[in-house]
Amino acid sequence: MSAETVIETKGLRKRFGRIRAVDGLDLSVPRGAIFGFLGPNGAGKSTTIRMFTGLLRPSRGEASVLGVPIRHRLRVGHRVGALVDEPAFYPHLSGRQNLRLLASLSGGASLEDIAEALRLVGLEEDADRKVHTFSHGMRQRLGIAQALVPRPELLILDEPASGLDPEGLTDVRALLLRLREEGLTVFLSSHLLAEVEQLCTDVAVISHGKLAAQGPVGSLLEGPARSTRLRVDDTEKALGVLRSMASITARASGNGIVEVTGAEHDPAELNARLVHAGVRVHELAPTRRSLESLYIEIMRADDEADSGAAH
Amino acid sequence: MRLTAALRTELSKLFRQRSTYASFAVIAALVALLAWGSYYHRDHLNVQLKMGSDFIVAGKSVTALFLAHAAMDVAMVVLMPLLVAFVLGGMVAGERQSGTLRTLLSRPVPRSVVLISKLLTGWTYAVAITLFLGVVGLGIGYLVFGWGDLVIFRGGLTILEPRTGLLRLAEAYGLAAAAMCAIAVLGMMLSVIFDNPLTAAGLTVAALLVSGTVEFMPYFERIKPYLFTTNLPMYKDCLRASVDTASISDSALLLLAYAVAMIFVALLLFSRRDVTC
Repeated sequence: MSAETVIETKGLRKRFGRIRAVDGLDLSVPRGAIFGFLGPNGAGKSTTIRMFTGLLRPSRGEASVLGVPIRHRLRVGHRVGALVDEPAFYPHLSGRQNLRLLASLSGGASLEDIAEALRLVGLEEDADRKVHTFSHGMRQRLGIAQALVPRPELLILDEPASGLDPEGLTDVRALLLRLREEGLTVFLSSHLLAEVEQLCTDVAVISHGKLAAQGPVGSLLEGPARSTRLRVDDTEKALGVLRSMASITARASGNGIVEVTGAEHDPAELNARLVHAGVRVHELAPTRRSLESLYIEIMRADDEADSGAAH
Repeated sequence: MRLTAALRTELSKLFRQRSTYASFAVIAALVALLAWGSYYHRDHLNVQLKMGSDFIVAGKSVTALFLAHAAMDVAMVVLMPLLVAFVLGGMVAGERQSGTLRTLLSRPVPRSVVLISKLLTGWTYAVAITLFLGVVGLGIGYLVFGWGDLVIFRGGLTILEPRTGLLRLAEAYGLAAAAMCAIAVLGMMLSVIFDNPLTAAGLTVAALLVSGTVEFMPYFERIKPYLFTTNLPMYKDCLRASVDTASISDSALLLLAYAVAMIFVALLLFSRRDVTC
Protein backbone atom coordinates (compact mmCIF):
# COMPACT_ATOMS: atom_id res chain seq x y z
CA MET A 1 0.00 0.00 0.00
CA SER A 2 1.43 3.36 -0.99
CA ALA A 3 1.46 6.38 1.30
CA GLU A 4 -1.05 7.95 -1.01
CA THR A 5 -3.60 5.20 -0.46
CA VAL A 6 -5.77 5.31 2.66
CA ILE A 7 -7.88 2.20 2.08
CA GLU A 8 -6.72 -0.83 0.18
CA THR A 9 -8.30 -4.25 -0.16
CA LYS A 10 -7.04 -7.34 -1.94
CA GLY A 11 -9.38 -10.24 -2.61
CA LEU A 12 -11.58 -9.18 0.31
CA ARG A 13 -14.36 -11.67 0.96
CA LYS A 14 -17.23 -11.96 3.39
CA ARG A 15 -19.59 -14.88 3.47
CA PHE A 16 -22.76 -15.27 5.50
CA GLY A 17 -23.37 -19.00 5.33
CA ARG A 18 -23.71 -19.74 1.61
CA ILE A 19 -24.17 -16.12 0.62
CA ARG A 20 -21.12 -14.28 -0.70
CA ALA A 21 -21.81 -10.71 0.35
CA VAL A 22 -18.38 -9.49 -0.74
CA ASP A 23 -16.53 -11.61 -3.23
CA GLY A 24 -12.89 -10.84 -3.88
CA LEU A 25 -12.98 -7.05 -3.73
CA ASP A 26 -9.88 -5.12 -4.81
CA LEU A 27 -10.27 -1.50 -3.86
CA SER A 28 -7.85 1.39 -3.66
CA VAL A 29 -8.86 4.72 -2.15
CA PRO A 30 -6.40 7.56 -2.75
CA ARG A 31 -5.58 10.04 0.01
CA GLY A 32 -7.43 13.33 -0.27
CA ALA A 33 -10.22 11.92 -2.41
CA ILE A 34 -13.95 12.05 -1.97
CA PHE A 35 -14.50 8.45 -2.93
CA GLY A 36 -17.98 7.34 -3.96
CA PHE A 37 -18.81 3.69 -3.37
CA LEU A 38 -21.75 2.77 -5.56
CA GLY A 39 -23.86 -0.28 -6.10
CA PRO A 40 -27.42 -1.53 -5.94
CA ASN A 41 -29.05 -2.72 -2.72
CA GLY A 42 -27.42 -5.93 -1.53
CA ALA A 43 -24.29 -5.37 -3.63
CA GLY A 44 -22.05 -5.50 -0.55
CA LYS A 45 -21.45 -1.81 0.16
CA SER A 46 -22.51 -1.82 3.82
CA THR A 47 -20.79 -5.17 4.41
CA THR A 48 -17.55 -3.70 3.08
CA ILE A 49 -17.91 -0.61 5.27
CA ARG A 50 -18.66 -2.79 8.30
CA MET A 51 -15.42 -4.69 7.64
CA PHE A 52 -13.47 -1.41 7.47
CA THR A 53 -14.95 -0.34 10.81
CA GLY A 54 -14.36 -3.64 12.59
CA LEU A 55 -18.01 -4.62 12.91
CA LEU A 56 -17.56 -7.64 10.64
CA ARG A 57 -14.60 -9.98 10.31
CA PRO A 58 -13.56 -10.71 6.72
CA SER A 59 -13.85 -14.35 5.68
CA ARG A 60 -10.78 -14.07 3.43
CA GLY A 61 -8.54 -11.52 1.79
CA GLU A 62 -6.77 -8.46 3.05
CA ALA A 63 -7.84 -4.96 3.87
CA SER A 64 -5.95 -2.09 5.36
CA VAL A 65 -7.06 1.32 6.58
CA LEU A 66 -4.48 4.12 6.90
CA GLY A 67 -1.78 1.54 6.26
CA VAL A 68 -2.83 -0.79 9.07
CA PRO A 69 -4.49 -4.20 8.50
CA ILE A 70 -8.08 -4.02 9.72
CA ARG A 71 -7.49 -6.72 12.33
CA HIS A 72 -5.29 -4.10 14.05
CA ARG A 73 -7.64 -1.21 13.25
CA LEU A 74 -7.68 0.00 16.87
CA ARG A 75 -4.17 1.38 16.30
CA VAL A 76 -5.54 3.95 13.86
CA GLY A 77 -9.15 4.01 15.01
CA HIS A 78 -8.87 7.50 16.50
CA ARG A 79 -7.89 8.76 13.03
CA VAL A 80 -11.01 7.34 11.40
CA GLY A 81 -14.56 8.67 11.78
CA ALA A 82 -17.44 6.50 10.66
CA LEU A 83 -21.16 6.56 10.16
CA VAL A 84 -22.36 3.04 9.54
CA ASP A 85 -25.88 2.46 8.28
CA GLU A 86 -28.73 4.34 10.02
CA PRO A 87 -27.33 6.51 12.80
CA ALA A 88 -28.29 5.11 16.20
CA PHE A 89 -27.99 7.09 19.44
CA TYR A 90 -29.13 6.92 23.04
CA PRO A 91 -32.58 8.50 22.82
CA HIS A 92 -32.76 9.59 26.47
CA LEU A 93 -29.56 11.65 26.10
CA SER A 94 -29.17 14.95 24.26
CA GLY A 95 -27.28 15.25 21.00
CA ARG A 96 -24.35 16.84 22.80
CA GLN A 97 -24.30 14.18 25.54
CA ASN A 98 -24.30 11.45 22.90
CA LEU A 99 -21.34 13.06 21.18
CA ARG A 100 -19.43 13.43 24.44
CA LEU A 101 -20.00 9.77 25.34
CA LEU A 102 -18.92 8.51 21.94
CA ALA A 103 -15.94 10.84 21.72
CA SER A 104 -14.71 9.65 25.12
CA LEU A 105 -14.30 6.18 23.60
CA SER A 106 -12.00 7.59 20.93
CA GLY A 107 -9.70 9.24 23.44
CA GLY A 108 -11.96 12.20 24.18
CA ALA A 109 -12.70 15.50 22.54
CA SER A 110 -12.85 19.00 23.95
CA LEU A 111 -16.19 20.75 24.40
CA GLU A 112 -15.07 23.12 21.66
CA ASP A 113 -14.45 20.23 19.25
CA ILE A 114 -17.92 18.88 19.97
CA ALA A 115 -19.50 22.31 19.54
CA GLU A 116 -17.59 22.73 16.27
CA ALA A 117 -18.82 19.37 14.94
CA LEU A 118 -22.40 20.29 15.87
CA ARG A 119 -21.99 23.66 14.19
CA LEU A 120 -20.59 22.09 11.02
CA VAL A 121 -23.71 19.95 10.61
CA GLY A 122 -26.06 22.77 11.60
CA LEU A 123 -27.21 21.29 14.90
CA GLU A 124 -25.78 23.81 17.35
CA GLU A 125 -29.22 25.12 18.34
CA ASP A 126 -30.78 21.70 18.87
CA ALA A 127 -27.77 20.01 20.44
CA ASP A 128 -29.20 20.02 23.94
CA ARG A 129 -32.51 18.43 22.97
CA LYS A 130 -33.01 14.76 23.74
CA VAL A 131 -32.30 12.65 20.66
CA HIS A 132 -35.74 11.00 20.77
CA THR A 133 -37.18 14.37 19.74
CA PHE A 134 -34.91 14.59 16.66
CA SER A 135 -36.24 14.12 13.12
CA HIS A 136 -34.66 11.54 10.82
CA GLY A 137 -32.67 14.25 9.05
CA MET A 138 -31.39 15.64 12.37
CA ARG A 139 -30.25 12.18 13.45
CA GLN A 140 -28.46 11.86 10.12
CA ARG A 141 -26.67 15.15 10.76
CA LEU A 142 -25.81 14.04 14.28
CA GLY A 143 -24.45 10.82 12.78
CA ILE A 144 -22.09 12.85 10.60
CA ALA A 145 -21.16 15.02 13.61
CA GLN A 146 -20.22 12.00 15.73
CA ALA A 147 -17.96 10.81 12.92
CA LEU A 148 -16.18 14.17 13.04
CA VAL A 149 -15.13 13.97 16.73
CA PRO A 150 -12.31 13.66 17.43
CA ARG A 151 -11.20 15.18 14.11
CA PRO A 152 -10.41 12.23 11.78
CA GLU A 153 -8.12 11.88 8.77
CA LEU A 154 -10.48 9.50 7.07
CA LEU A 155 -14.25 9.77 7.12
CA ILE A 156 -16.27 6.65 6.23
CA LEU A 157 -19.93 7.45 5.61
CA ASP A 158 -22.60 4.91 4.72
CA GLU A 159 -25.41 6.67 2.86
CA PRO A 160 -24.83 10.05 4.53
CA ALA A 161 -27.52 11.72 2.43
CA SER A 162 -30.25 9.32 3.51
CA GLY A 163 -33.26 11.18 4.86
CA LEU A 164 -31.90 14.65 4.18
CA ASP A 165 -34.04 17.32 2.55
CA PRO A 166 -32.64 19.27 -0.46
CA GLU A 167 -31.23 21.95 1.86
CA GLY A 168 -29.61 19.30 4.02
CA LEU A 169 -28.11 17.65 0.93
CA THR A 170 -26.60 20.94 -0.16
CA ASP A 171 -25.21 21.53 3.34
CA VAL A 172 -23.65 18.06 3.50
CA ARG A 173 -22.14 18.46 0.04
CA ALA A 174 -20.61 21.80 1.03
CA LEU A 175 -19.35 20.30 4.31
CA LEU A 176 -17.67 17.34 2.60
CA LEU A 177 -16.02 19.58 0.03
CA ARG A 178 -14.74 21.80 2.82
CA LEU A 179 -13.42 18.84 4.77
CA ARG A 180 -11.63 17.63 1.67
CA GLU A 181 -10.03 21.04 1.25
CA GLU A 182 -8.80 20.68 4.83
CA GLY A 183 -7.08 17.42 3.89
CA LEU A 184 -9.62 14.77 4.91
CA THR A 185 -10.28 11.74 2.75
CA VAL A 186 -13.97 10.89 2.49
CA PHE A 187 -15.22 7.42 1.61
CA LEU A 188 -18.97 7.38 1.10
CA SER A 189 -21.55 4.99 -0.18
CA SER A 190 -24.60 6.44 -1.88
CA HIS A 191 -27.52 5.79 -4.17
CA LEU A 192 -27.68 9.39 -5.34
CA LEU A 193 -25.67 9.21 -8.55
CA ALA A 194 -26.08 12.85 -9.54
CA GLU A 195 -24.92 13.86 -6.05
CA VAL A 196 -21.90 11.54 -6.26
CA GLU A 197 -21.00 12.87 -9.72
CA GLN A 198 -21.02 16.44 -8.41
CA LEU A 199 -19.16 15.63 -5.22
CA CYS A 200 -16.77 12.74 -5.74
CA THR A 201 -13.33 12.79 -7.25
CA ASP A 202 -13.17 8.99 -7.51
CA VAL A 203 -15.73 6.23 -7.61
CA ALA A 204 -15.96 2.47 -7.43
CA VAL A 205 -18.99 0.49 -8.53
CA ILE A 206 -19.68 -2.81 -6.84
CA SER A 207 -22.13 -5.44 -8.01
CA HIS A 208 -22.83 -8.84 -6.48
CA GLY A 209 -19.93 -8.26 -4.10
CA LYS A 210 -17.42 -7.74 -6.91
CA LEU A 211 -15.77 -4.61 -8.19
CA ALA A 212 -17.30 -3.59 -11.52
CA ALA A 213 -15.46 -0.31 -12.13
CA GLN A 214 -13.10 1.98 -10.29
CA GLY A 215 -11.22 5.17 -11.00
CA PRO A 216 -11.30 8.97 -11.04
CA VAL A 217 -14.74 10.25 -12.06
CA GLY A 218 -13.22 12.29 -14.89
CA SER A 219 -11.50 9.35 -16.55
CA LEU A 220 -14.46 7.01 -16.10
CA LEU A 221 -16.80 9.45 -17.77
CA GLU A 222 -14.48 10.68 -20.49
CA GLY A 223 -14.81 9.26 -23.97
CA PRO A 224 -16.67 10.09 -27.12
CA ALA A 225 -19.70 12.34 -26.94
CA ARG A 226 -23.01 10.52 -26.84
CA SER A 227 -25.00 13.40 -28.27
CA THR A 228 -24.29 16.88 -29.57
CA ARG A 229 -26.62 19.86 -29.73
CA LEU A 230 -26.01 22.35 -32.54
CA ARG A 231 -27.56 25.70 -33.39
CA VAL A 232 -27.16 26.51 -37.07
CA ASP A 233 -28.38 29.14 -39.55
CA ASP A 234 -29.76 26.58 -42.07
CA THR A 235 -31.35 23.54 -40.50
CA GLU A 236 -32.28 21.74 -43.75
CA LYS A 237 -28.78 22.10 -45.18
CA ALA A 238 -27.23 20.98 -41.91
CA LEU A 239 -29.45 17.89 -41.73
CA GLY A 240 -28.44 16.99 -45.27
CA VAL A 241 -24.75 17.17 -44.40
CA LEU A 242 -25.10 15.30 -41.11
CA ARG A 243 -27.30 12.52 -42.48
CA SER A 244 -24.65 11.77 -45.09
CA MET A 245 -22.31 10.79 -42.27
CA ALA A 246 -22.26 7.16 -41.19
CA SER A 247 -23.49 5.89 -37.79
CA ILE A 248 -25.09 9.09 -36.58
CA THR A 249 -28.68 10.27 -36.42
CA ALA A 250 -29.59 13.93 -36.81
CA ARG A 251 -32.96 15.58 -36.19
CA ALA A 252 -34.19 19.15 -36.08
CA SER A 253 -35.92 20.34 -32.94
CA GLY A 254 -36.90 23.88 -33.93
CA ASN A 255 -35.31 27.32 -33.67
CA GLY A 256 -32.27 26.23 -35.67
CA ILE A 257 -31.44 23.46 -33.21
CA VAL A 258 -30.17 20.12 -34.47
CA GLU A 259 -29.63 17.14 -32.15
CA VAL A 260 -27.02 14.62 -33.23
CA THR A 261 -26.84 11.20 -31.60
CA GLY A 262 -24.69 8.21 -32.33
CA ALA A 263 -22.49 5.68 -30.62
CA GLU A 264 -19.31 7.56 -31.37
CA HIS A 265 -18.90 10.91 -33.03
CA ASP A 266 -16.45 13.73 -32.82
CA PRO A 267 -18.09 17.17 -32.33
CA ALA A 268 -15.10 18.85 -33.99
CA GLU A 269 -15.60 16.68 -37.06
CA LEU A 270 -19.30 17.68 -37.19
CA ASN A 271 -18.36 21.33 -37.00
CA ALA A 272 -15.75 21.02 -39.75
CA ARG A 273 -18.14 19.24 -42.13
CA LEU A 274 -20.89 21.81 -41.60
CA VAL A 275 -18.61 24.79 -42.04
CA HIS A 276 -17.10 23.19 -45.13
CA ALA A 277 -20.62 22.86 -46.56
CA GLY A 278 -21.27 26.54 -45.85
CA VAL A 279 -23.45 26.10 -42.77
CA ARG A 280 -22.78 28.62 -40.01
CA VAL A 281 -22.59 27.00 -36.59
CA HIS A 282 -23.62 29.38 -33.77
CA GLU A 283 -23.51 26.88 -30.93
CA LEU A 284 -22.09 23.39 -30.39
CA ALA A 285 -22.65 21.52 -27.12
CA PRO A 286 -21.44 17.94 -26.81
CA THR A 287 -23.07 15.95 -24.01
CA ARG A 288 -20.71 13.58 -22.22
CA ARG A 289 -21.95 10.44 -20.51
CA SER A 290 -23.15 10.86 -16.97
CA LEU A 291 -22.34 8.72 -13.95
CA GLU A 292 -25.92 7.52 -14.08
CA SER A 293 -25.54 6.26 -17.66
CA LEU A 294 -22.20 4.65 -16.79
CA TYR A 295 -23.76 2.99 -13.76
CA ILE A 296 -26.69 1.67 -15.75
CA GLU A 297 -24.34 0.33 -18.44
CA ILE A 298 -22.29 -1.47 -15.81
CA MET A 299 -25.35 -2.95 -14.15
CA ARG A 300 -26.79 -4.10 -17.47
CA ALA A 301 -23.50 -5.67 -18.49
CA ASP A 302 -23.29 -7.38 -15.13
CA ASP A 303 -26.84 -8.73 -15.42
CA GLU A 304 -26.13 -9.99 -18.96
CA ALA A 305 -22.94 -11.69 -17.76
CA ASP A 306 -24.92 -13.29 -14.94
CA SER A 307 -27.70 -14.55 -17.19
CA GLY A 308 -25.06 -15.79 -19.68
CA ALA A 309 -23.32 -17.69 -16.90
CA ALA A 310 -26.67 -19.14 -15.79
CA HIS A 311 -27.30 -20.53 -19.29
CA MET B 1 -7.77 4.70 30.51
CA ARG B 2 -10.00 3.13 27.87
CA LEU B 3 -11.77 1.05 30.51
CA THR B 4 -12.33 4.14 32.64
CA ALA B 5 -13.83 6.01 29.67
CA ALA B 6 -15.98 3.02 28.69
CA LEU B 7 -17.10 2.50 32.28
CA ARG B 8 -17.99 6.18 32.65
CA THR B 9 -19.97 5.92 29.42
CA GLU B 10 -21.87 2.86 30.60
CA LEU B 11 -22.61 4.26 34.04
CA SER B 12 -23.75 7.51 32.50
CA LYS B 13 -26.10 5.66 30.15
CA LEU B 14 -27.55 3.54 32.96
CA PHE B 15 -28.03 6.23 35.54
CA ARG B 16 -29.51 8.73 33.09
CA GLN B 17 -32.31 6.31 32.26
CA ARG B 18 -35.65 6.75 33.97
CA SER B 19 -36.24 3.00 34.02
CA THR B 20 -33.22 2.59 36.30
CA TYR B 21 -34.87 4.82 38.90
CA ALA B 22 -38.18 3.06 38.34
CA SER B 23 -36.57 -0.13 39.63
CA PHE B 24 -35.46 1.71 42.79
CA ALA B 25 -39.02 3.00 43.18
CA VAL B 26 -40.37 -0.55 42.86
CA ILE B 27 -38.02 -1.73 45.61
CA ALA B 28 -39.05 1.17 47.88
CA ALA B 29 -42.72 0.37 47.20
CA LEU B 30 -42.18 -3.28 48.13
CA VAL B 31 -40.52 -2.33 51.42
CA ALA B 32 -43.30 0.18 52.19
CA LEU B 33 -45.87 -2.54 51.50
CA LEU B 34 -44.05 -4.92 53.84
CA ALA B 35 -43.89 -2.21 56.52
CA TRP B 36 -47.59 -1.52 56.14
CA GLY B 37 -48.44 -5.22 56.42
CA SER B 38 -46.12 -5.69 59.39
CA TYR B 39 -47.54 -2.63 61.13
CA TYR B 40 -51.14 -3.78 60.91
CA HIS B 41 -50.29 -7.36 61.80
CA ARG B 42 -47.62 -6.70 64.41
CA ASP B 43 -49.73 -8.29 67.15
CA HIS B 44 -50.08 -11.42 65.09
CA LEU B 45 -46.33 -11.42 64.41
CA ASN B 46 -45.65 -11.12 68.14
CA VAL B 47 -48.04 -14.01 68.82
CA GLN B 48 -45.82 -16.12 66.53
CA LEU B 49 -43.09 -15.70 69.06
CA LYS B 50 -44.93 -17.76 71.59
CA MET B 51 -42.85 -20.92 71.70
CA GLY B 52 -45.34 -23.20 73.35
CA SER B 53 -47.28 -22.32 76.45
CA ASP B 54 -44.34 -21.96 78.80
CA PHE B 55 -42.01 -19.80 76.60
CA ILE B 56 -43.06 -16.34 75.61
CA VAL B 57 -40.68 -13.68 74.32
CA ALA B 58 -41.44 -10.32 75.79
CA GLY B 59 -40.82 -7.06 73.92
CA LYS B 60 -41.27 -6.14 70.29
CA SER B 61 -40.10 -8.43 67.56
CA VAL B 62 -40.98 -6.15 64.66
CA THR B 63 -38.12 -3.65 64.39
CA ALA B 64 -36.10 -1.84 61.75
CA LEU B 65 -33.75 -4.85 61.57
CA PHE B 66 -36.71 -7.19 61.22
CA LEU B 67 -38.08 -5.22 58.27
CA ALA B 68 -34.67 -5.05 56.54
CA HIS B 69 -34.33 -8.81 56.97
CA ALA B 70 -37.90 -9.55 55.82
CA ALA B 71 -37.40 -7.29 52.78
CA MET B 72 -34.31 -9.24 51.80
CA ASP B 73 -36.03 -12.59 52.21
CA VAL B 74 -38.95 -11.47 50.06
CA ALA B 75 -37.13 -9.47 47.37
CA MET B 76 -34.25 -11.89 46.77
CA VAL B 77 -36.57 -14.66 45.58
CA VAL B 78 -38.00 -13.04 42.43
CA LEU B 79 -37.91 -9.24 42.34
CA MET B 80 -34.17 -8.61 42.58
CA PRO B 81 -33.12 -11.36 40.12
CA LEU B 82 -35.81 -10.08 37.74
CA LEU B 83 -34.54 -6.49 37.90
CA VAL B 84 -30.93 -7.57 37.41
CA ALA B 85 -31.93 -9.88 34.54
CA PHE B 86 -33.78 -7.10 32.74
CA VAL B 87 -31.05 -4.52 33.10
CA LEU B 88 -28.23 -6.89 32.15
CA GLY B 89 -30.29 -8.57 29.43
CA GLY B 90 -30.66 -5.21 27.72
CA MET B 91 -27.04 -4.17 28.01
CA VAL B 92 -25.80 -5.95 24.90
CA ALA B 93 -28.92 -7.37 23.24
CA GLY B 94 -30.82 -4.10 23.76
CA GLU B 95 -28.03 -2.07 22.23
CA ARG B 96 -27.73 -4.53 19.39
CA GLN B 97 -31.47 -4.24 18.70
CA SER B 98 -31.48 -0.44 18.82
CA GLY B 99 -28.35 -0.14 16.67
CA THR B 100 -26.29 1.70 19.29
CA LEU B 101 -23.94 -1.28 19.63
CA ARG B 102 -22.94 -0.60 16.01
CA THR B 103 -22.23 3.04 16.85
CA LEU B 104 -20.31 2.01 19.97
CA LEU B 105 -18.20 -0.73 18.36
CA SER B 106 -17.25 1.35 15.33
CA ARG B 107 -15.28 3.46 17.83
CA PRO B 108 -11.65 2.48 18.47
CA VAL B 109 -12.30 0.62 21.69
CA PRO B 110 -11.57 -3.10 22.19
CA ARG B 111 -14.70 -5.20 22.45
CA SER B 112 -13.41 -6.82 25.63
CA VAL B 113 -13.23 -3.35 27.21
CA VAL B 114 -16.80 -2.61 26.14
CA LEU B 115 -18.07 -5.88 27.61
CA ILE B 116 -16.13 -5.56 30.85
CA SER B 117 -17.35 -1.99 31.32
CA LYS B 118 -20.91 -3.21 30.79
CA LEU B 119 -20.39 -6.00 33.30
CA LEU B 120 -18.89 -3.63 35.88
CA THR B 121 -21.86 -1.32 35.35
CA GLY B 122 -24.21 -4.27 35.78
CA TRP B 123 -22.43 -5.19 39.00
CA THR B 124 -22.69 -1.58 40.19
CA TYR B 125 -26.42 -1.73 39.55
CA ALA B 126 -26.80 -5.12 41.27
CA VAL B 127 -24.90 -3.89 44.35
CA ALA B 128 -26.75 -0.55 44.33
CA ILE B 129 -30.24 -2.06 44.31
CA THR B 130 -29.30 -4.62 46.98
CA LEU B 131 -27.86 -1.97 49.27
CA PHE B 132 -30.80 0.30 48.52
CA LEU B 133 -33.13 -2.49 49.63
CA GLY B 134 -31.26 -2.74 52.92
CA VAL B 135 -31.08 1.00 53.53
CA VAL B 136 -34.76 1.53 52.69
CA GLY B 137 -35.70 -1.47 54.88
CA LEU B 138 -33.78 -0.05 57.80
CA GLY B 139 -34.99 3.50 57.18
CA ILE B 140 -38.69 2.75 56.83
CA GLY B 141 -38.41 0.13 59.62
CA TYR B 142 -36.86 2.67 61.96
CA LEU B 143 -39.51 5.29 61.18
CA VAL B 144 -42.40 2.87 61.64
CA PHE B 145 -41.20 0.40 64.27
CA GLY B 146 -38.13 1.94 65.87
CA TRP B 147 -34.86 0.24 66.82
CA GLY B 148 -34.58 -3.15 68.54
CA ASP B 149 -33.32 -6.73 68.35
CA LEU B 150 -33.17 -8.80 65.20
CA VAL B 151 -35.47 -11.78 65.62
CA ILE B 152 -34.96 -14.57 63.11
CA PHE B 153 -36.91 -17.80 62.60
CA ARG B 154 -34.60 -20.08 60.71
CA GLY B 155 -34.12 -23.59 62.07
CA GLY B 156 -35.37 -22.31 65.37
CA LEU B 157 -35.53 -18.91 67.00
CA THR B 158 -32.52 -16.62 67.00
CA ILE B 159 -32.53 -13.29 68.78
CA LEU B 160 -29.60 -10.99 68.10
CA GLU B 161 -29.09 -7.84 70.06
CA PRO B 162 -29.24 -4.69 67.84
CA ARG B 163 -25.50 -4.16 67.29
CA THR B 164 -24.82 -7.82 66.40
CA GLY B 165 -28.04 -7.95 64.38
CA LEU B 166 -27.00 -4.95 62.32
CA LEU B 167 -23.55 -6.40 61.68
CA ARG B 168 -24.99 -9.76 60.60
CA LEU B 169 -27.51 -8.04 58.39
CA ALA B 170 -24.73 -5.99 56.76
CA GLU B 171 -22.80 -9.21 56.06
CA ALA B 172 -25.93 -10.85 54.70
CA TYR B 173 -26.62 -7.93 52.39
CA GLY B 174 -23.01 -8.04 51.19
CA LEU B 175 -23.40 -11.72 50.28
CA ALA B 176 -26.78 -11.05 48.68
CA ALA B 177 -25.14 -8.37 46.54
CA ALA B 178 -22.48 -10.89 45.50
CA ALA B 179 -25.23 -13.36 44.56
CA MET B 180 -26.93 -10.68 42.47
CA CYS B 181 -23.59 -10.05 40.74
CA ALA B 182 -23.47 -13.75 39.81
CA ILE B 183 -26.98 -13.44 38.32
CA ALA B 184 -25.75 -10.33 36.48
CA VAL B 185 -23.02 -12.40 34.80
CA LEU B 186 -25.61 -14.96 33.68
CA GLY B 187 -27.77 -12.14 32.29
CA MET B 188 -24.79 -10.60 30.50
CA MET B 189 -23.77 -13.90 28.90
CA LEU B 190 -27.30 -14.51 27.59
CA SER B 191 -27.45 -10.90 26.40
CA VAL B 192 -24.34 -11.55 24.29
CA ILE B 193 -25.85 -14.73 22.85
CA PHE B 194 -29.36 -13.49 22.03
CA ASP B 195 -30.36 -10.51 19.90
CA ASN B 196 -33.58 -9.70 21.73
CA PRO B 197 -33.22 -8.15 25.22
CA LEU B 198 -36.51 -9.66 26.39
CA THR B 199 -35.34 -13.12 25.31
CA ALA B 200 -32.07 -12.62 27.20
CA ALA B 201 -33.82 -11.38 30.34
CA GLY B 202 -36.55 -14.01 30.12
CA LEU B 203 -34.02 -16.81 29.69
CA THR B 204 -32.02 -15.55 32.68
CA VAL B 205 -35.10 -15.84 34.86
CA ALA B 206 -36.04 -19.16 33.23
CA ALA B 207 -32.54 -20.55 33.92
CA LEU B 208 -32.91 -19.60 37.58
CA LEU B 209 -36.36 -21.18 37.74
CA VAL B 210 -35.19 -24.41 36.09
CA SER B 211 -32.17 -24.64 38.38
CA GLY B 212 -34.43 -23.88 41.36
CA THR B 213 -36.87 -26.58 40.29
CA VAL B 214 -34.12 -29.16 39.79
CA GLU B 215 -32.93 -28.33 43.28
CA PHE B 216 -36.14 -29.72 44.74
CA MET B 217 -36.22 -32.92 42.67
CA PRO B 218 -35.00 -35.92 44.61
CA TYR B 219 -33.37 -37.44 41.47
CA PHE B 220 -30.85 -34.65 41.41
CA GLU B 221 -29.83 -34.86 45.05
CA ARG B 222 -26.20 -35.50 44.12
CA ILE B 223 -25.79 -32.43 41.97
CA LYS B 224 -27.87 -30.19 44.21
CA PRO B 225 -24.88 -28.74 46.14
CA TYR B 226 -23.31 -27.63 42.83
CA LEU B 227 -26.36 -25.97 41.34
CA PHE B 228 -26.28 -22.22 40.73
CA THR B 229 -29.50 -21.55 42.63
CA THR B 230 -28.55 -23.74 45.62
CA ASN B 231 -25.68 -21.40 46.35
CA LEU B 232 -27.33 -18.05 45.65
CA PRO B 233 -29.03 -17.74 49.09
CA MET B 234 -25.67 -18.01 50.87
CA TYR B 235 -26.57 -14.83 52.77
CA LYS B 236 -28.96 -16.88 54.88
CA ASP B 237 -25.97 -18.57 56.53
CA CYS B 238 -25.18 -15.24 58.21
CA LEU B 239 -28.55 -15.09 59.82
CA ARG B 240 -28.32 -18.08 62.14
CA ALA B 241 -27.27 -18.40 65.75
CA SER B 242 -23.72 -18.82 64.55
CA VAL B 243 -22.39 -17.87 61.11
CA ASP B 244 -21.73 -20.93 58.91
CA THR B 245 -18.44 -19.69 57.42
CA ALA B 246 -17.58 -22.98 55.71
CA SER B 247 -20.89 -23.12 53.89
CA ILE B 248 -20.60 -19.46 52.86
CA SER B 249 -17.09 -19.87 51.46
CA ASP B 250 -18.11 -23.04 49.57
CA SER B 251 -21.06 -21.24 48.00
CA ALA B 252 -19.02 -18.13 47.23
CA LEU B 253 -16.28 -20.17 45.52
CA LEU B 254 -18.79 -22.09 43.46
CA LEU B 255 -20.58 -18.92 42.35
CA LEU B 256 -17.19 -17.40 41.51
CA ALA B 257 -16.37 -20.44 39.36
CA TYR B 258 -19.71 -20.12 37.56
CA ALA B 259 -19.09 -16.38 37.06
CA VAL B 260 -15.57 -16.86 35.67
CA ALA B 261 -16.79 -19.52 33.22
CA MET B 262 -19.69 -17.36 32.06
CA ILE B 263 -17.50 -14.26 31.69
CA PHE B 264 -15.06 -16.29 29.58
CA VAL B 265 -17.86 -17.52 27.30
CA ALA B 266 -19.35 -14.01 27.02
CA LEU B 267 -15.97 -12.45 26.17
CA LEU B 268 -15.20 -15.12 23.60
CA LEU B 269 -18.55 -14.73 21.85
CA PHE B 270 -18.65 -10.94 22.05
CA SER B 271 -15.14 -10.56 20.65
CA ARG B 272 -15.81 -12.79 17.66
CA ARG B 273 -19.41 -12.08 16.82
CA ASP B 274 -20.24 -10.08 13.69
CA VAL B 275 -22.36 -6.98 14.22
CA THR B 276 -24.91 -7.25 11.43
CA CYS B 277 -27.75 -5.11 12.75
